[in-house]
Amino acid sequence: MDAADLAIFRLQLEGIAERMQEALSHAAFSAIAREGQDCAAALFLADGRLLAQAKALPLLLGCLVPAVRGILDAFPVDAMREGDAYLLNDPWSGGTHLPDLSVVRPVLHEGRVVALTATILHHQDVGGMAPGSVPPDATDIWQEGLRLVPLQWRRNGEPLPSIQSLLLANTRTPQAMAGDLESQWSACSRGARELAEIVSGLGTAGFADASARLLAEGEALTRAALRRAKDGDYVARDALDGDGIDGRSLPVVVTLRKRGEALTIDFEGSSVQSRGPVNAAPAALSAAAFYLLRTLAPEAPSNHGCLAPLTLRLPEGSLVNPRPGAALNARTATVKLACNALLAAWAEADPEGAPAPNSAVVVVLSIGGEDASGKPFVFTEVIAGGAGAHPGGEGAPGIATDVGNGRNMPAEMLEAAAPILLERYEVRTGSEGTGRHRGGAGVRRVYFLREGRAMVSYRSERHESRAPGARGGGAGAPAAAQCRRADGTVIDLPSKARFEWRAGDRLVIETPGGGGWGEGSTEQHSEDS
Amino acid sequence: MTRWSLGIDVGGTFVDLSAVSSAGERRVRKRALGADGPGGAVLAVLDEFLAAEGIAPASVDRLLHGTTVATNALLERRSPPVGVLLTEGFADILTLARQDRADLYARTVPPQPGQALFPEQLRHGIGGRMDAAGTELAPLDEKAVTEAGKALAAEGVQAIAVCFLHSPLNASHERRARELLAIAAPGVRVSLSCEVDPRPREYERALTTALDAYVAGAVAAYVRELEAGLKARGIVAPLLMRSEGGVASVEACLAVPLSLAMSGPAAAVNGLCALLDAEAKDGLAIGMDVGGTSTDFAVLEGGAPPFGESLRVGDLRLRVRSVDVHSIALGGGSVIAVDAVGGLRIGPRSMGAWPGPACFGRGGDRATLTDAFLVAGLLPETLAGGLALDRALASAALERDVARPLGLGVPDAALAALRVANAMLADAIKRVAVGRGADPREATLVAAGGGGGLHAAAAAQMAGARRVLVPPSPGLAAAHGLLGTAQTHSVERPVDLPLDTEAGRASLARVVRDLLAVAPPAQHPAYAAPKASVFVEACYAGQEFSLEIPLDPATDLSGDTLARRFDERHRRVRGQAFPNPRRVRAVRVVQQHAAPAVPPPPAGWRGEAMRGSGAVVLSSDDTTVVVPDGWTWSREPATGVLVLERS
Repeated sequence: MDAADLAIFRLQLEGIAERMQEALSHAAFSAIAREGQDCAAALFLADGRLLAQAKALPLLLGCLVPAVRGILDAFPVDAMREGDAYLLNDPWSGGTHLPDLSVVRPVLHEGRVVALTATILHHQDVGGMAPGSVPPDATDIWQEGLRLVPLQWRRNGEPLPSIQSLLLANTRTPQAMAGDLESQWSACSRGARELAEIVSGLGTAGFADASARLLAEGEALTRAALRRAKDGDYVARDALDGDGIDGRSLPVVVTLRKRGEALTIDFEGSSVQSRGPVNAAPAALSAAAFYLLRTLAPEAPSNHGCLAPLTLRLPEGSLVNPRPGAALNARTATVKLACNALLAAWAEADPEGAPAPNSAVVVVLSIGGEDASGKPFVFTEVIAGGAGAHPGGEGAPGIATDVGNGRNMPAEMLEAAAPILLERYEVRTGSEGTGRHRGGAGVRRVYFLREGRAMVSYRSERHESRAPGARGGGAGAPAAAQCRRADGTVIDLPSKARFEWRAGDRLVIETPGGGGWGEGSTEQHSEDS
Repeated sequence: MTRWSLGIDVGGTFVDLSAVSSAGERRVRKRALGADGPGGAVLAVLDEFLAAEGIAPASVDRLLHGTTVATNALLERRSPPVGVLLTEGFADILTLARQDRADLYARTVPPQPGQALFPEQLRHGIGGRMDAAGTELAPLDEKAVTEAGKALAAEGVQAIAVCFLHSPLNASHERRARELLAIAAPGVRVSLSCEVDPRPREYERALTTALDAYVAGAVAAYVRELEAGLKARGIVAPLLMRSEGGVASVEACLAVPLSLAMSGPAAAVNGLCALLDAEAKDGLAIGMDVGGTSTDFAVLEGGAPPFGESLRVGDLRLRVRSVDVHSIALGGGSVIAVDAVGGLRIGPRSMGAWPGPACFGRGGDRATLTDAFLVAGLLPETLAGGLALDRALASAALERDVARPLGLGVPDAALAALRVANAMLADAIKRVAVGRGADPREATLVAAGGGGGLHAAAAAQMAGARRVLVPPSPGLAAAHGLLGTAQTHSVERPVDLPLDTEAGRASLARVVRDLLAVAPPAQHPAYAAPKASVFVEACYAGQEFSLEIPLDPATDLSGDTLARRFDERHRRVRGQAFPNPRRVRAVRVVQQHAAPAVPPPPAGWRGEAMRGSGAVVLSSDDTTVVVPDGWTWSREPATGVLVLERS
């Protein structure tokens, strides 16, 4: 295989992953998977090393690596058969939070497993104390939903009946779960079919050789990028508003130790684990670390080789590696903040062109209820804050950053699924950090419940803090949220809240702005020009 | 009297004319674009052609045209801004887009493309609201529409886009807004989302509608000027090529100007499909049209181009039905440069048609790919269209821009640049093939455009392909394709019907019958009677993204034929069929009037030999083909197609 053949091999693998991703998100039933793209697809070698990924949400892509490891630890690859599929969501077996179910299917050639296809998808509801299974007031994992340790889900292409009925009995939306599991199986099957064709073209040895070379390329490009940056220790700190139970803020501290072409990421100094659900499973933090490495050499093939230079230290019993049983559904807040801290620390190692911090927030809003006729609905959506400004220009308003890339929920799709009107979706003018280049503004979304009743799970961050500016730029505005009752009462919501929503009430959500870059005022500049 | 049909296509560098008479005679003409731009060039090439061939204008009774005017407006973004009316509270959706970013691992996140394109002061939120069932919750704020119309007219906008929530289900507010705007902003063009893109998801529909308004001014000015020029000569009004792969009347095209976004590339793909040989038709073919500023790729499966519902133009993704063409910024006018670390870079900047490459001698002061080919001895002294090339100017530009920075001689520098260009083309060939699940090594590469033959064999070899076709007069592929393109009219209606019940299928049958009743007349007696094709978009209940399947109203509206066809399609595209009930979400009827058969164009290959082997350079009236060492070539006597094969 020459360099041109290897390039085709890479494109073929990436093409398979992309087509799995499209099959997955287009066949999906869950609104957050279908509209928000909260789902991901990837290809793995039989030993669990990542071979190729779709261009999807980095947080989920990163989480598939430990999920596949967890499956393989429980089910030796030699015992896997054509038509088998495996499932997990347990955070202490490689999962991230309970709504994200990973499905893994083996790819066989001449009777032996040569590779795995894997998908992860945010399901609408996996039970627990609140519709949508992301309760901001949970204090243990059992309140958050059904916990699935690695298990075999399908044999000969069919779901195992007892497992399937157990799954569907533990969700408020069994039809959506059944449909979304089929979407995951379907995408894995599509990928497996295509990958098997490639393996049969190359032969087992040829496929192994090409894969090894592709992983080596990922590693070499990542190491070369590390080598170019300054050696040193770089520290960044931030803090969560609180865990939704106790009011006090929770520090997140990260130290990057960059030596030659190796990097250690250490979260020593971060808060001990919380009672509330802002703990993050190791899978989620490894996704943030993977993200940082991918930004160093974006041209590299996205595979296990890129992870080779990394050592990740997550203190046990901390916010970023909680002990079994901890609540952790709201891990997005912690991971976004941690990833932002990673990028801020790296900006010291490689200051050229570094942007100001982004808002570090993605609001996760989950609403379940019923309309006046008693027909139930559940949906989850993600709402982004602003991006950071940079030496070359302003930051974008209301846009997914770093480990996130979730899309918004169109009003037309939301309103078709629930008795809700989205009354406004607009740029939150004035929330951006000032400076020579302005940060990206946050957004405002206003929801009106037309009839029936609902339970709202609201999870945000930065109600009490601001995204800082860089090089003299101003900080972005904090987040805010209100419930405006039909009777005129206005309730200011904290950054994590669960409450009852009644017909005629309005919910107003404002996301924070990104940091500005450089001293000076944008207005003056625009008048000058 | 002999009557003539003319296909005229405007590219980045040339305007091409392909003609066929009622007696089956073929003629071609080519002309370099002047500084006066494409509009004048069309009439100029027409005048030259008629004079040179001694054809009376009155004997031209069919004129087909492929135009880049809409594409250029979208790419260049120099058109005046347009007004946009959106539902109150949603005036920012064009800048917020879908919240996701294109480049996952870039350090900085740039604003969405809509931010610069649609300035805040020209976006108005308008009161009035429908719900998701299409029921009016609040009446249209007519005063706000009128005030916005007046304000926009005062700002001088020439077009306004209107996109209100849920308009695909109830368009009454949008239609009323158009009436009010006609009074408040007289003479201003109005694009309604319910007409441009009647599909759910407000951002995608708003962007597509706003871009329709954005290109409207440039398209209308161009088309009206062309029409007037033709009328002055006593020549019929043109039919224009649309992205969806058929020609239509001027009025039909001006109703949705964005439908012309891929006019030229769609015509070129049709031209290539007409000349595939059996092997390319049965297997996988990849069209590669190398023009002056860009190269277009299309994967042809079963001898036909694939269509898509979304179209990428630069960083914009439009929701329009279009032939699936992938473009890269590499063509004969692409600038060759050496970057700070000694890397050889080609494009994306192009010298375009004017002033063009240095060797055109029109003041182009940068080395381009065409200059490199000339210096490498692969181009004649005079290009098709009568453009004389100046070797000394090409050599000087390459010396200054490439040879000196690299420390090479001029000939070596030229060859190095050509290798880089071929590698870029090979990379794109691999991407488009793999993107459709095909293996580039099994493809036949079909080279078009004046530069296609120069690159094809080398690029194919780098992509692992072993076979290349160069059709006769490849520089005129799009103009040839226009002559054989059907006149097409399509109409779509959103529905939400069960596919599995008799009652659902009966409702579906009624919608199909309604839509089939709409058939515009043929624009010319040569076109056949219309043939209707019906398609439905279906999904499983609970899904929101549909898949298109064909429907034969005679046989498919009873029993489970349609359900099984949908399951099969779902299995192929998404991996598996589901046990869920199925729903139909849209019906589309396409009426096609087939074009008369067209004999192959003149090839004009130089020399008598019919086969041979490389390394050799072959030439014809309008192109040059490089056959590398290790390749053989042969000419198909019936069609004039040149077949290259790697031995």
